[in-house]
Amino acid sequence: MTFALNEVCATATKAARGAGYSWGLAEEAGFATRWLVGQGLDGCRALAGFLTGPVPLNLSGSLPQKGKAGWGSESKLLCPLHMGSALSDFAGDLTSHGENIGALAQPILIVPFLGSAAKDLDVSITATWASVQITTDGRSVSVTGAVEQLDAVVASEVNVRIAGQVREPLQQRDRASPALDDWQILLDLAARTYAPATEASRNLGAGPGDGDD
Amino acid sequence: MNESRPVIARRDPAKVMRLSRLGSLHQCRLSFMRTLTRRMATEGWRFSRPVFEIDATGIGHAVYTVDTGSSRYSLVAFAHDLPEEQRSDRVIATAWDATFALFDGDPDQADIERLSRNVPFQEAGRVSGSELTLSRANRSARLWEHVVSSLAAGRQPDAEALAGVGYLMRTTAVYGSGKFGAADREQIAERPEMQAPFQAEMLTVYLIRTFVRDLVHHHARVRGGSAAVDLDPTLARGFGIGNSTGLGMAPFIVNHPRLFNNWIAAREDAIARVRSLPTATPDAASQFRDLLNRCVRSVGLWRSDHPVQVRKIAALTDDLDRLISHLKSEDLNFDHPWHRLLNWSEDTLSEEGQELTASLILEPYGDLVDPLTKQMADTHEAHVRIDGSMRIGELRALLEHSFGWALETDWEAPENRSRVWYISAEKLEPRLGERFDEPLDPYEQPLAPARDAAAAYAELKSWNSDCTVAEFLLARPHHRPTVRRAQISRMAPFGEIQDNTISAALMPIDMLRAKLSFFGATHFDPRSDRWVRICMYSGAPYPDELTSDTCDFWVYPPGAA
Repeated sequence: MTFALNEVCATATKAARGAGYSWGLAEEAGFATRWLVGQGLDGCRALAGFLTGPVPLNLSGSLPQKGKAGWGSESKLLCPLHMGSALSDFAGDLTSHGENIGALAQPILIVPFLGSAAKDLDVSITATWASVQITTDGRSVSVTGAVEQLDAVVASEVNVRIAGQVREPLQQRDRASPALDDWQILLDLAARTYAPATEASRNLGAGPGDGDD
Repeated sequence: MNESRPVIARRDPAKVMRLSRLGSLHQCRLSFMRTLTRRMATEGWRFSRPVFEIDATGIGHAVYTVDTGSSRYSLVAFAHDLPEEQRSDRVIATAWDATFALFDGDPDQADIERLSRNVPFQEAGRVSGSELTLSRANRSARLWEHVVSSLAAGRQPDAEALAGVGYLMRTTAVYGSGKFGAADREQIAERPEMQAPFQAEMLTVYLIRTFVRDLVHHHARVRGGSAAVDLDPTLARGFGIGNSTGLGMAPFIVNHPRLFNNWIAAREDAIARVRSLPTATPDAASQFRDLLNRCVRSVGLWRSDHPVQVRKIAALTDDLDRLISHLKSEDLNFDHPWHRLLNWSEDTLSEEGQELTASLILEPYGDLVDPLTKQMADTHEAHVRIDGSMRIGELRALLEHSFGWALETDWEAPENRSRVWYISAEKLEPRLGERFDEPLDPYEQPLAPARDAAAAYAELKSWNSDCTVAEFLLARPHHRPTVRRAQISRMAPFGEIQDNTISAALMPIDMLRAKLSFFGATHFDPRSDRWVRICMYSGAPYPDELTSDTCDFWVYPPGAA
């Protein structure tokens, strides 16, 4: 069974919200997951892994702070949704030397934000962690090095710079085929956004019914 | 008379985007159903019915295929035998008289078998990237039996009974754009015939209407044998497809500000173009008067029991009397007649009457208006990147422009925030609850952009105007949606509803009607403040009747012979 990319986006958004993010960051999670899937990367695994992973739900400590040496956070482990959003917002500051980012959870989740910025700035941006390099111009993505590092749960250091060129782009997808256990994690988190039904809400929420037809 | 053509500006979003006005919108030339019927006729789409395997009990399936010249689409229809007690109008039902999918191409036997295991279950089944829509419909219990028994006995049904209902079947949902596994909009958006919004959905309903006519003929023949007759073509043409629309549609126009802007802006552009005409030709004036008379007949057939709509229909009926009387002394041949007429309407008529007049003046000007359909889709990527380099001073100005009215609102006052939009766990459908009576706050959906804008604006007061949006969002990331919408508003001035969507006074049916009017629906019949019945394609030509003469003005009932 395959899923529409719209379903991926909607489910990822609700899952992030269900995990405790504001709707604003949840929308970014939906965008990022859909983007990765469209580029042939396993966005659903990345988000499911992140939302059940080591970043505590008390997010305030995981918010990015910009220092002279690069990006870090109080808790020493950065949230990729916040970090990716900030990298996109501060994209005008990006250089070919790049920015160093401290320990980052599920690093692949920042790539969609780099893609979005790369497209607007008409540049290519390369992110490097462990021994993998991922380059995007916003339209496509290429990967070199240790491909298994794309699934890294934590990268101790990430470098992001305006550099590189997309060679041998990954095959893009217009349908999603997530692992069903990852999809189920997202569905379970998404379900937390649904209000349990009460008799009052049944009667009131959709407006009274009528038998006339 | 050589004065240059003045360009009369579009109306102010602050006026157009109030809910009471959006809840008074009427169909026009730009409506999605009419866009489709015009295209089908001008491009000579060919229709066929390769399969009609419905048995004597009314169970089976049928396939209706359309060949556009460049693409083929097939409605796969499943007819069921639904016990009377299970027939419900609501989106939350689990069984229907008929279920449908629009297949991209020609389905083979394996596709039909796959669909037969899924489509009848609707939300509980799955469709694939080969399907563009998923839908279902129930018979009108009032009318179905009357029509079948009349035709079976060799008689035509009672025309008045038909006009009173207007449809033989009513859909309760038409899902597209990736719902339940269907193809994403992006997969078809670049095909010319699917470029305008909701064309796959409108085609689905058009083909459903043909199926329903054939199905009622089939039932009459099964019952009446050789005595049975088919519906008189004129009566058949009067049948549309009913539709019940609930709250599920309301969030759409909040969640798609650019798309909604494109619809409203196209209509406002059209109105401004026609207003700017220095004069009207006798033909244009005559066509306008003719359609106005036909409009009077249409409004005369509009029935509703909802007290708000009853009052609005009464006011509209008075408005039409005033308009006709006004036009007796108005030749429409000098000094920007349409501009003067709309100015007069704004001083004289209710919002229903004003918007009906605004839609009606577009009718004689297909050449001027119809090209605007091209700008009604949203061709940008779904995700809009925030421009982090924008200064706080500019952001504040954008918020003041889009939400000026909301910045003065007391958002702590219970009446200004008494409603909560949420998704029910039971049916996974949007609902509207009472914030102070039900424990719904944790489940609130982000459908109050005005409240959120006011909150962001209050915080921005303590920020230096030269700071950047990036700095603000680093500290206050939950304001990202507000900042994004404010930046979208630069390109989409008609993207925001300029009213409170969580107020105690909110009438959600206003939001539904705004959307449905762009589909081309008529005869809005609110059944509560939260759901509405409409009729689609009433009066439209069937596939074998589609010509350049019949494809456009069918929405207006024909004149008396």
